[in-house]
Amino acid sequence: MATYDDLKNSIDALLGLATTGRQLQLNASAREKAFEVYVLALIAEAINRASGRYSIIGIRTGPNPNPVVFRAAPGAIYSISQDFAYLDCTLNGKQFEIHVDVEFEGSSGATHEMDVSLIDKGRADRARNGQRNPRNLLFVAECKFYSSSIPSIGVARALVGLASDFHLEIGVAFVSNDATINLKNFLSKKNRPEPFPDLSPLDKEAEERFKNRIESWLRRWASV
Amino acid sequence: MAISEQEYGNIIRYLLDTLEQRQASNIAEEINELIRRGTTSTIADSRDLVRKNIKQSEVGKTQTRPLSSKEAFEKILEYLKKLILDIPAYEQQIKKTFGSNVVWEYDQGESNELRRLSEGFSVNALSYDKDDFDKANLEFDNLINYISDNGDLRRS
Repeated sequence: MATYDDLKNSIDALLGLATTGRQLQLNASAREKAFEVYVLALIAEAINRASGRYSIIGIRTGPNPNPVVFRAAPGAIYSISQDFAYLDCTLNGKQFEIHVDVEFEGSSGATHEMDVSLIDKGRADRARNGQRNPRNLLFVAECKFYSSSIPSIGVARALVGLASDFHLEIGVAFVSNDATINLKNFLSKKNRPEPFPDLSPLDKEAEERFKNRIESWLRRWASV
Repeated sequence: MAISEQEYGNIIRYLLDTLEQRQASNIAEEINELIRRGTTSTIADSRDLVRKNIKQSEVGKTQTRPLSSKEAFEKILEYLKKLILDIPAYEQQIKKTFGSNVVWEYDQGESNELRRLSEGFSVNALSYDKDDFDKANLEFDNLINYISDNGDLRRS
């Protein structure tokens, strides 16, 4: 039978681990950014599964940058102030790029920050050359790492509004590590962003569901 | 003898004090916020109406109520699992796809406000270590078992 000291000892053991101490120092923004790039990594796997190819590009140094630099805050696709990385992809003759934390201009003229976005390569090149935010978005994944607060319906409503400002040929995904039942119900309706509210590296089924859905979207879009 | 609400309250206080001692006051604040937020439930159907003695017009609405100490402790464990197990597991996936030298940097053209909110960091800050990961996993299993069997919490 468990005792008070058993519980206390477990807490002490957990918080006493050297790595735990470092993880607890990580700020909320860093957790969010790590989650976004984790999602990007899963999308990269889905591209391979769909028989596509990707390479990592640094905007200043080209293929295989070292280090691989991701944005710590949203920014312009054409910014070269850091060697920001993106994925350069091909699938059945289609060329596209995947970015993290890049700004887009919606049909309303409003600027939107996209966590993980997929854009036609030619349009991305034109946006970089023209030093302007791209307008054509093919796919977006809104990523939310939640720790002390669980994402509620307001986040999903905002994503529906954002998606309506673009013509998204591939799809829209809401990806988080938790969500309220209310949010899940809201996104369960047809033509809403597809919810992946339980994505975790510790839940291989949830990871597979996400990768399979991305693969299927990409295959349909590229007629693979 | 079941674990009392007071004992769960004591455990939470001990955990918060320990976090403060380990310079993790930001985490202690987030836990306090989580507790303050309470819990919500949606009144779904007629069984709820009977059980909770509420009106038909309330169906579909979301109610918020304070957490019991036991519920709060369960939520704290879920929260800590995300920080202590999920985040280092992101490191594994990120390194597998992008290599070991991954960093996050702010755009030098951004405002000071954005820089302040988003400091740069390296993937190594996610702190994956297999031994510690396994130990932490084991301790979470232990804690969940202790509370799920509604165990007899006696001070030994």
